[in-house]
Amino acid sequence: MVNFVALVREHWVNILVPAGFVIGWYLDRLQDQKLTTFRNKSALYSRELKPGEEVTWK
Amino acid sequence: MLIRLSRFGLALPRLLSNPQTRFVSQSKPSGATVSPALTELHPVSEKAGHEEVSPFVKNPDYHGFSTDPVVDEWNMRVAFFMGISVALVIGGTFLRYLPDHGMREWARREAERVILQREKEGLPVIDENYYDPNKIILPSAEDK
Amino acid sequence: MLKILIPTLLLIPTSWLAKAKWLWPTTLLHSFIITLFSLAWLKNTSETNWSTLNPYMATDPLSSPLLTLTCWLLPLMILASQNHLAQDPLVRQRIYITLLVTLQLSLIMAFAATELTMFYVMFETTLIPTLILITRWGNQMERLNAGTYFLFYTLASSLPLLITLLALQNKTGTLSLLIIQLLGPIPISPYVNIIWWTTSLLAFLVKMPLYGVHLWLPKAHVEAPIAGSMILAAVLLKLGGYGMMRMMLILSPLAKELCYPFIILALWGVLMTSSICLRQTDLKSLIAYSSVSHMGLVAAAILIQTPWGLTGALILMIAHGLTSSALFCLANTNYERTHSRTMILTRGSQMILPLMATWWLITCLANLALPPLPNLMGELIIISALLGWSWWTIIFTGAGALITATYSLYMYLMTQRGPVPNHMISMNPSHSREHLLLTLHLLPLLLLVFKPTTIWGSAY
Repeated sequence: MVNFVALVREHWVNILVPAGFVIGWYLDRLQDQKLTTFRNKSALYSRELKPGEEVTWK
Repeated sequence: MLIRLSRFGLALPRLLSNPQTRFVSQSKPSGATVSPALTELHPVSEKAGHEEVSPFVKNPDYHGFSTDPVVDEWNMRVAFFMGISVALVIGGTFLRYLPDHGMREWARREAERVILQREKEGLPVIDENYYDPNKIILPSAEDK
Repeated sequence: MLKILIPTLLLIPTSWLAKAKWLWPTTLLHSFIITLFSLAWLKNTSETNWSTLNPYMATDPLSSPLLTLTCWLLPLMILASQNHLAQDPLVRQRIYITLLVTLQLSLIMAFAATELTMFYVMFETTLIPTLILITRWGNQMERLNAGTYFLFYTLASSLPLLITLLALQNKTGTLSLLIIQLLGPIPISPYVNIIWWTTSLLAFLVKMPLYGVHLWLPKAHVEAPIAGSMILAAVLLKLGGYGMMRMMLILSPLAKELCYPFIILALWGVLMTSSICLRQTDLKSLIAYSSVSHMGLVAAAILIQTPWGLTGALILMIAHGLTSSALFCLANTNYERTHSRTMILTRGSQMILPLMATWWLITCLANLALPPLPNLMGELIIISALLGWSWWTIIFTGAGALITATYSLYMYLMTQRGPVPNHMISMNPSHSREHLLLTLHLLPLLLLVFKPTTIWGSAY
């Protein structure tokens, strides 16, 4: 157990970059959602979705 | 002698700022204070310049990463595993077997086959119409 | 995009908080992880070529190979500088790693920027860490002079670019690359046109560098520490080529007559700089001049603006990035042992470090464009594109290729063969770190042979 604590104390910095990856992934998802806000909302080009179709483009 | 002294001029004040007891006791009263100081200075300046002591003496399995044998070995393991096994092998496999997006490669191969076939049949290699003109239903002139 | 940027950003606190013992392994491990994720950029999933969009950044087949190269270079730089920083105090090692990470951050943002202003800002930002690297960790006093040259050449030539970009913003109302490529020719008077063309390309031509404004490069290369030379040769020069390809999009209708003098200068530069290589005594300077000559080919290929030219330029940039970086690493292994860059003084290394001599041979052959490697692919495509443009160019490109082969072999013979000088008898054997470093340079080059489309850009 002590060994484990020592290991964590020694190497906890290794968590930073993977954590950064997770944060970045989450933020990327947010950005994508923001960019798709106006998908199929245009008055000129909007269309009815086909049955079984979720969105017009991904 | 003087020239050699001036070469070590930079190291001299650093050494004098914390004089060792050994250094003081060795100085003889006969006035030859310069030469023992020089012999004392030699190893110091050598170390400050570049280390000639081979790290292999301390650690025969030296990999060039660190003087600490444990860190050296782990660093070697990390570097080889991440560099070769992960980045090159997994990354290379990933890149090689990426799906052919938009079937671009397939389009190229199909084009080569079509050209061969058309040349064999004596047809023109490419038709000037992309679509078959008979298939397109144009609105008639009255429809305007 | 943020998937890579935020881990890279967090690499800075990692390098400051890591235990002193584990500083280098930790940063190395994480930079490799970042590289692995960056490979995903090479997967092109969109019909318009632009993918991994966010409001400010995107990648396309032109920028993604360069981005991946940038990410690949960081672990290699960390590997390469480990030994010569071992004597430094710990804080300075951490600062060094921080600088390298900052450089990578700004390079990623420069290559991925969709907005020309942001590209410009990041283009200038890369100067700062590089300047600190050169002037602080260089080996001799001349490094200050080299830093001045480096900074002022690049800065002075890129200020006109800023004015041009502002003028363009006024004229068109946007600087976004996604929109600008859809604009028609921009109506301006012929005289302004000439100035406009020159100012938009000058910054990149100096960065490339074009023959005539290349003086900063050998100085900076010679004086920079190993990581500085590596990143300068591998990525920073390519920033110039990349910027030119991007600006050419806007300038395309007007560049017809104006590019003649520049193409001639670039091709003449190929000949001149490779001839300079033949009479170099300084190893690093020779490699630096060989970079100039390769970049001359790239500049000429971009300036003629044919799809083949652009493809060849991109291939040669990537291949030359890996090769020249490997050459600098080799020069550094020699330098760390003999403390001299003079080739006469380091003769006969083949007898002392035989495996290193193998790496020297392979790298020199890659530099002179041996058949299966992408170097040859790039050079051939560029030469044939130039030949299609005007057959006179074959004189320059052919002679250039010949002299390139000559000086590469000259470099190999000078450093590896011949009698061993007396002062080199007791040398450290080569470390597995150095062999790994060179493997990691040369294997990707070899692997690219199997999937060349990854570095063909968007024009094929």
